[in-house]
Amino acid sequence: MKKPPVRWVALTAATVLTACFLLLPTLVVVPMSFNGSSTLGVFDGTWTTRWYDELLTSPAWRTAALNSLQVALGSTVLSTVLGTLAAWGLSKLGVYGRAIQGGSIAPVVVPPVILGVGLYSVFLTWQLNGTVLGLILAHTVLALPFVVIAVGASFAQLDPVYERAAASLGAKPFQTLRRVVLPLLLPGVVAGALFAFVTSWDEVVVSIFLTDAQTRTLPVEMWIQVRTQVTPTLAALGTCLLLVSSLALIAMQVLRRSERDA
Amino acid sequence: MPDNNTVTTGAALTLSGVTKKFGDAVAVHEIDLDLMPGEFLTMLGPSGSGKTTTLNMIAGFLQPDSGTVTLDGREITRTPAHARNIGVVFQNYALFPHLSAVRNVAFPLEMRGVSRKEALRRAHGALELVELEKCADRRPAQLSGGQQQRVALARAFVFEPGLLLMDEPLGALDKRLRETMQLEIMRLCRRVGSTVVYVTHDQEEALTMSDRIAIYNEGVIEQLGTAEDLYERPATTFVADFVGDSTILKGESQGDGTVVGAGWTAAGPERGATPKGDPASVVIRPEMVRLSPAEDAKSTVNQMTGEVADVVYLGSQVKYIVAGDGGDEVHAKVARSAQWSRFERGDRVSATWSAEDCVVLSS
Amino acid sequence: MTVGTVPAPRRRGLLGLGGGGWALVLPLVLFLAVFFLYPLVQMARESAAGGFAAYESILTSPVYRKVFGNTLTIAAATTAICLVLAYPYAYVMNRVSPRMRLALMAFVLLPFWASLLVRSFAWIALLQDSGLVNQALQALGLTDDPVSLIRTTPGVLIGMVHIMLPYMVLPLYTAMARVDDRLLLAASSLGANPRRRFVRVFLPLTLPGLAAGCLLVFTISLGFYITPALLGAPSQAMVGEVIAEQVEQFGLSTASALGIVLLTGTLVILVVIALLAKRLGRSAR
Repeated sequence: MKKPPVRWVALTAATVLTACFLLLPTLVVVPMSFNGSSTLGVFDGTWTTRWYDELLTSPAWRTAALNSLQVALGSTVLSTVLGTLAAWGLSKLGVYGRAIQGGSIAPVVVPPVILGVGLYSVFLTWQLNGTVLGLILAHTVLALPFVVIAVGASFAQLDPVYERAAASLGAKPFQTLRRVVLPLLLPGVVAGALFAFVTSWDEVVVSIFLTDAQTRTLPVEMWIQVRTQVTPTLAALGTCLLLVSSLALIAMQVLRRSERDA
Repeated sequence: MPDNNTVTTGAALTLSGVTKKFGDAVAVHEIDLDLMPGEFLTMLGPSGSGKTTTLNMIAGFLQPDSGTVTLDGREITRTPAHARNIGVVFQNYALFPHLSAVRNVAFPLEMRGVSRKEALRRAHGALELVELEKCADRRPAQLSGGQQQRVALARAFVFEPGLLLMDEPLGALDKRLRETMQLEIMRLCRRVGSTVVYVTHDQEEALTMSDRIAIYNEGVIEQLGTAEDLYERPATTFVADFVGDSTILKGESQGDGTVVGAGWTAAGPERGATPKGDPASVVIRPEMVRLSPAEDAKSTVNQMTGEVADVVYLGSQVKYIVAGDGGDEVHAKVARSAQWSRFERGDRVSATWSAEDCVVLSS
Repeated sequence: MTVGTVPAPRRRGLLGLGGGGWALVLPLVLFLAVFFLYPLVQMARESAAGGFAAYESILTSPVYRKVFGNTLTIAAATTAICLVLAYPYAYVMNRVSPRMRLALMAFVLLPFWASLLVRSFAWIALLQDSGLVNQALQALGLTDDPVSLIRTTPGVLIGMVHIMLPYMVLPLYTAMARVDDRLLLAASSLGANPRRRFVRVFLPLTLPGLAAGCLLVFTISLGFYITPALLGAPSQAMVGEVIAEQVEQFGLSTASALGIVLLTGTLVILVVIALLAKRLGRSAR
């Protein structure tokens, strides 16, 4: 190595420390959730699955989980449909399309607190506060940018030469659509849907404004509990959520790889 | 595999008066072409000269503004691409990335209502023909450039089209692989018997592969003929310049096939008469030029005296660039042999050529 | 295969066929108009319901001035710390083997996808007086009494940097991956020592990614609510917390006005920095 090793030692150390900083607080919830002590994060050397039992038997968590699932599925479907149609339309509209695409990404820029207050205010008149429908609509606003970007990328990569090739090989327009175009777009649509699901599943801020005692989602229930008392049950829940996120992330990577190989 | 040995009868293709404009720009102007069944025709020209546009109109990807396309006696000018039964090999192959090699090849058969099983059987047969049977289940991304090229070929001929179109199919390959593939494509085309229209901007490729070559320039065919025609009897200075190495001398026509330039006079067969006093060009192939020491110069016609300005070593040949005394330049390629005399830079030489080895063009 | 009058083949591909584009985009536009734009407009109306009293009180009150000051300071500090941590990390990511790169990328993405709340309460557990961090500090003999980390500004910064770091690493990584290695070799061959090669060649080439990362981190940080509410000192509140508090306790008027100020501020910063970056990029060319 010609490079002075000192620099590389420093760089490696910085990277390792940053990696630890990124990873440890996320992963530490796993041992915390099996910790016997009833104070979160204070280890007394005993291990238990008690917190998982509590999590599974508590009606509050069960309601919240069901709410979360309904909202996440609802907003995933709605945002994927709206976003995919729009991405398809935008791919045809050229310059105007790019302007609208820019506009559709705006919800990412607006702080969620502001959107929460605004939606709370209009949902008061529309009587959507404290309803699952209201939450689905709100989460769809937040998820749409991700869907439009992910699906838009697949449309942008769809080379029209494949349609020509299919036609030259004797495929009628409908056959081309079904056998060539849709399979090529699918990974983008699935990626968009995954993004939408995770966005809704983890959303706290807007939901805090829009939920009531019956419609609390998991993150909102967590938020209320964290503010009153930090219990190890939260760590058990956190571990479960981490598992879901990791699976989503792995699904995403597999998808990306298959797309690249494809 | 019986169906591998069936020889398709090539289709006859006729284009007449085909014109295509994009906005105000004329991409292709009044093209006429007549292809015999089984013929291998190459469209050669610089990029943007209209050859790919012509190909796209034959394939049905573009509609001509006027003129007709006829395949085996039936007019197909307005027939959609999928109903034409023409095989196309695309520039970057356009293999479907989500299908394996064999499924790509089976695709056109399935589109024609062949059962999945039978389609796969025939697709495997076609892959065998291009020696890719072992890669049948790989996705295009897992194949090398040359392998993708073969799959694209197999996919284009598996449904036995009477006409195969190829748009710079070897453009993405390196030189050595390109030469192998040229031979392979020729072998395959002869075997399946299709008529072929091949687009390239590589003149060597065109000379090697084709029965006839159409030279494109700015939307028109400048000359259509065999490789020999184009090389030995170019119709325009553009063709002379584009096909092979040549020296083009500009001078004034004497009206009788003689051209006078700065410090030289040339006479040779004329392509179209040029009135006396008009500008004319003389095309000379460098390998037809002989060099001798200047003091040996005998004739004054088809001769130029000058100084060796550069010597370029080409392996089996040596190229001399001779700066004529009148300011024009002539190139001479001399084969190295046991008894050749070598000139050095700065030597005074006389370059000569015979009348039948040069062509006089009006320009 | 029949020959006859068939409609002309399409030029722009099946799905790119002209016409119908607007019809497909319309549902999205309507949806965002009703559930995104209208709420913001409604909020603006709400904020001005009592004339401009709400704005006046915000602009004149020293309490709110302090809140905005805090917000800007914390967002700027978060951006700076993220940059310092992310730049070497992204650089190393670009220099290691593909396998290692995948691991480093996963370390960035996993927290990115993990619930923000889970990470925030994990920090509470770690940073509290009896938490692992204080235990470690005491075991190392660095301190005798527990250091208060939770409910302090350093606590907020730790939590926010942890959440925002991926937003800095990803654009930097992309920008660095785009730098052609041959340019660095060229710089060396032209006599640049490693330090100058970095300052004169590498850094300028990664500047767009750096700007994008900082812009992203800074503007997102301005609107934070959850993390400062859980990890921060109540006396050092950020605008997001105050807005939520206002809604809970005093209704929509002041909250809306604060929201409009925050939103306008965020947009102005975005536009100004984007314009500056554009000009900078042009002059660099």
